[in-house]
Amino acid sequence: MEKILIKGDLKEGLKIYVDPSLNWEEIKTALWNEFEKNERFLKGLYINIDLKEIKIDEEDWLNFQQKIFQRFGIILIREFLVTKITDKNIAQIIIGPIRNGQKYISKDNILILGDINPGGEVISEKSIFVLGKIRGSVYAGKENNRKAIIFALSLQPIHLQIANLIWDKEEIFESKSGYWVYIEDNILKISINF
Amino acid sequence: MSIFDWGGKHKSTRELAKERLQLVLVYDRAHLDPGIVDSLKEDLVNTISKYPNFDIKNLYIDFSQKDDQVVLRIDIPIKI
Amino acid sequence: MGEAIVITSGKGGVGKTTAVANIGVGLALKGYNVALVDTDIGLRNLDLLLGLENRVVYNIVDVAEKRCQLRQALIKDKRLSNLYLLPAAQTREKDAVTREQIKEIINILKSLFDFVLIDSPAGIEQGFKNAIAGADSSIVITTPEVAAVRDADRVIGLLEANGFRDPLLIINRVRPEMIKRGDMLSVEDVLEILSIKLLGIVPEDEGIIISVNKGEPIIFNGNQSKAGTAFTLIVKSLLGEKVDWNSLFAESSLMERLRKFFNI
Repeated sequence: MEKILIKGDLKEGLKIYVDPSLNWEEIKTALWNEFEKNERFLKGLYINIDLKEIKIDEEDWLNFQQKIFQRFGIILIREFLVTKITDKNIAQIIIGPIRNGQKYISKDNILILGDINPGGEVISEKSIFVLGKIRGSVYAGKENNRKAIIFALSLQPIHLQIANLIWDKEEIFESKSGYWVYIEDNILKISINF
Repeated sequence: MSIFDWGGKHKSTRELAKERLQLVLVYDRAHLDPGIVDSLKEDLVNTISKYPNFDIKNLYIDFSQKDDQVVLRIDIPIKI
Repeated sequence: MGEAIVITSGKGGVGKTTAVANIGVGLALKGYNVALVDTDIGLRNLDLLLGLENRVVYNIVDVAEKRCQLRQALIKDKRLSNLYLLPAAQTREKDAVTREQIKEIINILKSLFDFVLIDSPAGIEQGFKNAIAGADSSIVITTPEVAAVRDADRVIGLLEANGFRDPLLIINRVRPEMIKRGDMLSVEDVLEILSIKLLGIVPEDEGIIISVNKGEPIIFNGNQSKAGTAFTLIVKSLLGEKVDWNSLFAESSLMERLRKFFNI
């Protein structure tokens, strides 16, 4: 494959494909050469570049972008891989609060917009995401699904469980960005969402 | 209740409450609605008024215990 | 067609019946024709709070079982001629009337009155289910205590499941000093959990006990009492008028008045 391939037209937009065997330094050199060759045609254009999953330091990328712009007037935009959401990854959305006496059971992921109040119960065979406070009972990963996780903005649960592991400590967790609850090394862990 | 009521025959609300409660319990235990007794009183007074020999003004109606039954006792004094 | 509002709470003893009596009187004082309905069959109290206990002849069960006409059972208040009470039966049980019977009675009352306030029994069983039959909207009463809020949450869930889309909340027996000290759930705490619209709050007030002793709802005292003021504001709020809740908490004690006077 060519090192650099520019495809598309001026109407639909231009996109650059790079040879995946190249590393970042090689790509930068190849791009520079290509732009030099076609400077007149490419000046002032927005060009997307698909760099796949190559890990590039953010600062490095910004510097390169700026240099390209300053030298050639080309605006280089990194395109990220669009993840296709498969049917396997859906969630049921429920608008809370989930009140005392209410119980929701699902085979799918559940997304709660709001709190789960004391006496409220949410049970899923997959994961449960709560954009609110868990003050009631949450049981994710029913049927021994140890990959299930729980997310919440605040944890003051009456009952918190993933698969067969139950959280048994009294602490209250409160943070603006929330908490992840998951199973790792055979135990239930809670970590802050950064 | 202001300080100007001092020394008057003002009933405390506690006493008032006690009275009302005692009365309401009597009716409750007798399984009667109070209004019915009032209606009965009214009807009695109207009927008795037709007979001049009876002293309506001193008509007495009250609940009373007879053995283990609650009875409504009515005393109608006779005019002499 | 009048509006039927059910007042409920879940937990008992939080002040439902007091609220029904005072809001009812408040609406009547504003000139509306009001009917108060006690559905707590077997444990009637609304008559007592209104001081009308001696005037009860017929009750809601008599009406349901067609032993009397509705207008025979309605008791006119001794102070306000546009306020009526339909008392509960004292000697029957909660299953003495059906939902359909209550619904029918409420519908007739709606055609005769501007407001029909339904006092629900505590709990969430048949009595509650009967009380909500025929109501257009609902008010939930709670106090700032964990158990009461928990039960109120349950009741709100049931109300929403029964088609009551916007229940309104009254928080009763509020003690601002305790809230300040952090010893009592604040209004915000309660609202955060219950997530329904606040109609109003009623401060703890000894005057309520006295008003019950006398059989005279505290709202008759107007702004001589905190609770009376609160209920007046609640009625205004219910009618859609603008309410300034600050008047309730201004100058809350002699000490504060003195403090202001002496500039301490």
